[in-house]
Amino acid sequence: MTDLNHKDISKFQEAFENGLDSFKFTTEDLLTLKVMIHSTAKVKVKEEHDLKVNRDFALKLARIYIGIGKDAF
Amino acid sequence: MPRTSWKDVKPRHVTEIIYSLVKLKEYENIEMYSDLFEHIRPHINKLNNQDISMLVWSLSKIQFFNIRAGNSIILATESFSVKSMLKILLERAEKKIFKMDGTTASMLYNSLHQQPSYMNLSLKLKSQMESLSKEETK
Repeated sequence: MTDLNHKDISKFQEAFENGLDSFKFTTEDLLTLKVMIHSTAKVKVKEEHDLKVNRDFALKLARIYIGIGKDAF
Repeated sequence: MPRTSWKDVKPRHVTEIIYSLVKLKEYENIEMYSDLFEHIRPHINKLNNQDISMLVWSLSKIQFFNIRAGNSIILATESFSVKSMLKILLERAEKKIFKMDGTTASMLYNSLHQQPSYMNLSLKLKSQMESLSKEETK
């Protein structure tokens, strides 16, 4: 397993696209994802298009988060 | 074997994710909320007022949007229902109402006051807000 433990969002996106099994997520990664989702919601949205971009991004992160959570239980 | 111990992830973290997604107007993905609530449900009796108010606000928004859009059928999965989760959270809120701060009471009141089913609780919240406001002006 590749140890992710990284705050770079591109690493998370890569993990999402390549399949989560190849990465080892740490608790720190989970908390970083949480902060990213929360920050996404705090960005001021001027147009519907921007809202959709933010929402899609947050959903992608949330799916990673849930994917990891399911493994942990 | 879990990839992570998940030990530092508190119900508050999952609550913040739910709250953020609803802030982003993600109202329809009930499966996702169901998965997230799996992590909160075992700790429901330990949630503080702020957690409860964030969750009630989020679930009320999801419920309000879906009912207005005629999607009430998607408000539940096999293991999770927005309505029943809301009911459990509101029962907790009602027990804690006299120890509730003004911000939490106000957030809960704003989430509920337009829903006739929660009229009694709304009135109690209003009364709590008024009594806190009187104490402040003394």
